[in-house]
Amino acid sequence: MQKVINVNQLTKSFKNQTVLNGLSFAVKAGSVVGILGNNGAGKTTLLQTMLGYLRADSGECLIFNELSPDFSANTKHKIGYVPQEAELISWMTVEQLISYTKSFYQRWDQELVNNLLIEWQLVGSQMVDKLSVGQKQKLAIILAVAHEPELLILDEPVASLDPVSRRNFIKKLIDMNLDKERTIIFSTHITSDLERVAAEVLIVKDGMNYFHGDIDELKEKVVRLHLLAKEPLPATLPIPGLLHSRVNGRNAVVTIENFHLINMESLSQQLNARITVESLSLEDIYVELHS
Amino acid sequence: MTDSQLLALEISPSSGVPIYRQLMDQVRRMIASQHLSPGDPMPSVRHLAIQLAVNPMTISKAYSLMEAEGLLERQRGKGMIVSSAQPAQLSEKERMGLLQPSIDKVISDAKQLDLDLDQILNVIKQQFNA
Repeated sequence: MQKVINVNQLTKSFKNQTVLNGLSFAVKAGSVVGILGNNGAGKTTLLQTMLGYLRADSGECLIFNELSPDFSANTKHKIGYVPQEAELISWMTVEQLISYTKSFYQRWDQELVNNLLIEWQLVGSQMVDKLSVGQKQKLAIILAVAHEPELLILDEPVASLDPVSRRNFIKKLIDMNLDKERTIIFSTHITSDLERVAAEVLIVKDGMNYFHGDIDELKEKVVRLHLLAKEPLPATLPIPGLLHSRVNGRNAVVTIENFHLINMESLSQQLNARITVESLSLEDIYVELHS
Repeated sequence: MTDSQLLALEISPSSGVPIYRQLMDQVRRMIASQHLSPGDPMPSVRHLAIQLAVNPMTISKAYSLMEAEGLLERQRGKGMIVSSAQPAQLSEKERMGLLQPSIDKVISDAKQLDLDLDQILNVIKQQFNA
């Protein structure tokens, strides 16, 4: 399938601080990818460098096969971007800002805009600077999707939304993904949202691609084992792919990263222990990978 | 398929079990308990994706795997239906296999609570036929 985004060995430093350290990943058309990373891991820098708001020190990013930041007008039309903190012109009304933004685009789905305004309870005559943070975020999302972009990039889109609005927004994202196979990339801290809407996750750690792939695959690889042995267990357990282990006499709790490769029966015999497998949520996995 | 059955599907992203497996387990149980009968139409991928607020790929994956297992079949123009030729009733051993995780959990909880086997067996016996 065609790749919408190709990021190769991207690096970016601010003064002496390396934020992106040779990060590579690619995104297929129609995917929904969630980007996870600690504060300061480089998520926003990554998105901004990809889009050309920041210049990379080295490496490259291709979007629709065009090199960032030299996108043609046509490619720019195909991208919608919602920054973490929406910079909206504060002295306009909601309505004025919408028609101002509309003037930059050839395509514009006014029906979608009107529907979202009603659904998200935004009033056209309201001044932008009187909107709450959450309302501003909703308006920024409307402005980014109205020209029907094929690629939607959102930096922490749900951070300022209440749980009900978050769920509605997620449904809207799914709807947009189903319509015309839009590709959606978003960064977030809220793993349960990501788990619902994204099929793929990109975990950014130390400015690098720590994991990129199916969430299901990750969940089937990284699990926690609870061991109860007949004899005291050795302090270091002979289990390959061990991430963490806590041995306490005949009991042990271990997290492993390659459950799919382990033969549980022979491990159980080898250690003379009963083993129960605990599946982990994305949040648990994320914490295990970062501690 | 009626709306009430649609609503019976519920997923929990934080449970740790991949969402597609949660869906498969629920549909399998609904078929086993005859809440879903052969020939019943399944909701479309789009419908279920939006209802549950879950990525459509995840729903497609669950449907395809259930099709491969013979639980569902694809009908031209109509989407997925519950297969008319359900795989043979699971053997006792297979059904016991499905219960095993719950048994493991009871045993491990009982040990933590320092309850002995007879106590638990008594309670199970009493309540099983209640």
